[in-house]
Amino acid sequence: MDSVLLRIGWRNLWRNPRRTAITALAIAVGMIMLAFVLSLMAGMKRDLINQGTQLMLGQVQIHKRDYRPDRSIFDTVPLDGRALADQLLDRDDIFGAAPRVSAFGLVSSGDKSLGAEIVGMDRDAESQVTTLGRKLEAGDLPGRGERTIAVGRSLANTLGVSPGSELILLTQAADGSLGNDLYTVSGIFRTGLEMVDGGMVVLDLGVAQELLALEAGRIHEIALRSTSPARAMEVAAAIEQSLGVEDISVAPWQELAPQLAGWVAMSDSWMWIMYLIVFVLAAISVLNTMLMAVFERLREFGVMAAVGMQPRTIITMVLAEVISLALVSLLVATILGAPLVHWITNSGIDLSATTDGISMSGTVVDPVIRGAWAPAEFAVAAGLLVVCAALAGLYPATRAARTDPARLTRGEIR
Amino acid sequence: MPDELAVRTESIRKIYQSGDQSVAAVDGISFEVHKGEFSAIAGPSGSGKTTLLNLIGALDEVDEGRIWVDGTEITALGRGERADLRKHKIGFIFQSYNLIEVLSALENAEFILLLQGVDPAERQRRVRAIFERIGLDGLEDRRPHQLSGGQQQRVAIARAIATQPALILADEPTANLDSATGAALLDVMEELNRDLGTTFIFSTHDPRVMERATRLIRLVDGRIVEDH
Ligand SMILES: Nc1ncnc2c1ncn2[C@@H]1O[C@H](COP(=O)(O)OP(=O)(O)OP(=O)(O)O)[C@@H](O)[C@H]1O
Ligand SMILES: [Mg+2]
Repeated sequence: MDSVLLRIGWRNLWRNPRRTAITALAIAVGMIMLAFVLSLMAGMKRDLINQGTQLMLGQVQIHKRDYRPDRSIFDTVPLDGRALADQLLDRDDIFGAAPRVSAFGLVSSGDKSLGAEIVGMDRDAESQVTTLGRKLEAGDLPGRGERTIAVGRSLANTLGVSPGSELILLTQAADGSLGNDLYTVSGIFRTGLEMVDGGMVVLDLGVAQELLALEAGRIHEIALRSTSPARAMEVAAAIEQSLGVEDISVAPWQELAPQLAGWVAMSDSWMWIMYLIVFVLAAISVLNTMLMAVFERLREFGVMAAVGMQPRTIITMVLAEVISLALVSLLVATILGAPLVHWITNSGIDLSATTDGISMSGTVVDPVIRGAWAPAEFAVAAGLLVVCAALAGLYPATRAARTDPARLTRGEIR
Repeated sequence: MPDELAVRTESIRKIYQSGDQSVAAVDGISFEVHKGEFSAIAGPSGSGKTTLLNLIGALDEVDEGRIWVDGTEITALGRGERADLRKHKIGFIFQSYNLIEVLSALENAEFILLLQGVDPAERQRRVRAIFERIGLDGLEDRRPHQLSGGQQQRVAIARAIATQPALILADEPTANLDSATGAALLDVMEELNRDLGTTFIFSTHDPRVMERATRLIRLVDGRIVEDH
């Protein structure tokens, strides 16, 4: 019996091939749009987070609880910071741990001076967490123990320095004295972010600690890279719990860069809106087709019921038809949509012709927008579309099933 | 109810409401049909022929009265049970639109057997035998739209008799056919009635069709005015 229902459903689908083709195409286009948008959104989200976290932020940061937002040089992490960083590397979910110190100071060359953030970092540890080390236009970041300094491109321009030039740093040290020293420029970085390129200088961690009169174990922050940015929150929570020190806060990037998190959340809501629109369009299209398909066939259903078919079987028959329709659409969508998704994930849309370097809330955005494969999301979307199609068919089918056969044979419905 | 009764009705009424007007389409009909009868229901348009057949065939529910078909009181059954009863005891032939458009003649004819769960070989055997008997052999694979009106009605008859029901109800089966084709269809029905003892109740406008019946029931305004 079931096989004949499938046969009837399938053949009914091709009773009006044009209508079926149009509906299948509409659903397929919907699915392709979904796949495309899903891929694009997933890619943009990935890039946004990566670019937002990779440069300097890291995915998770550890501080003394009071350190943010004032960033006082006295608020160092209340443990041996270097040892803690090493120890965190033993965790399976941590790939990189970069201890840092940071202070505000004056950078001078000749008679020109500028205020800037002085960051002390370990070049090797940092390379496991952030990409600053790959943004050098000339030279390199200071190596371990080197009394050199790396500066941003615009700061170098303002002060008129280049690698080999000398700079004087002046800052308040933790012992109350005035830290004051001379450094040779080792390299010049260009990140595209004015805040960094014009307002940050980099020293080796140990050298910076010396300038700030901090002992080797005293650091202000540890930036971490975990398995994926998506896991930052749980990783942060797990570390905070395992440390168990009340005065230490472990914060994921969402907390450290709320604006970035806001952008990401917004792109998520756009995705849901797109979802909804496509769904509604596809559902309306199926509903329309199924209404027509059921209503023009009422007499036939009536005859089937008259000769002994259970009324509820009408529902099974219509569902068989709808699901066939959805599967045909899925096939069309896969054939037409795969190249498109392939293109967006591999080549992407290059916006560099229209803009040069977009900076968005502390993030440098790549001018090429690339998609990412989102197979799970697409499977869910396609599955939901099939369910949607089934629901759309269910409405006319249940109405027909509830109608007396006598009425159906007159071509009427309850 | 004695065994030899195919149908018995007891004061059945069916009232249709259209606007403020209510029409008693069937207005207190009591009658009996014996097994093996070949009865015609005649009457002017709107006299209640279709309504009566639908009630006897459990396609519609009475407002008053009771109906028995082959010993079962159908007016006491639920929807699902009525569908089952139709499947096993009643065959239906309508004036037109009898067949499922996407199924072949053969598939249409075996549809009820399929609903009954009869296995494929047995279905084929029975339906092919009937096709041969009523002049449909060679047309098994045609779709309904590739058949003439008379051929379509024959397929509907084949479907109805394939399960050997107690009763076949036919609502103006010849109305859409020319008179020669209609006469040929009646020949088939008559032959099945004579050879297999199948009970037929059919409605008609056509005096030439009425002549062929062994019993003629005349309706006017939902009541029996003549029965002989
Ligand atoms: N669904 C309905 N709603 C309202 N009134 C109806 C309905 N079906 C039938 N009637 C009325 O019931 C009466 C009997 O109709 P029925 O169709 O049984 O007559 P009939 O003898 O079969 O007529 P015909 O020869 O035209 O087929 C008519 O007055 C008709 O208008
Ligand atoms: Mg009628």
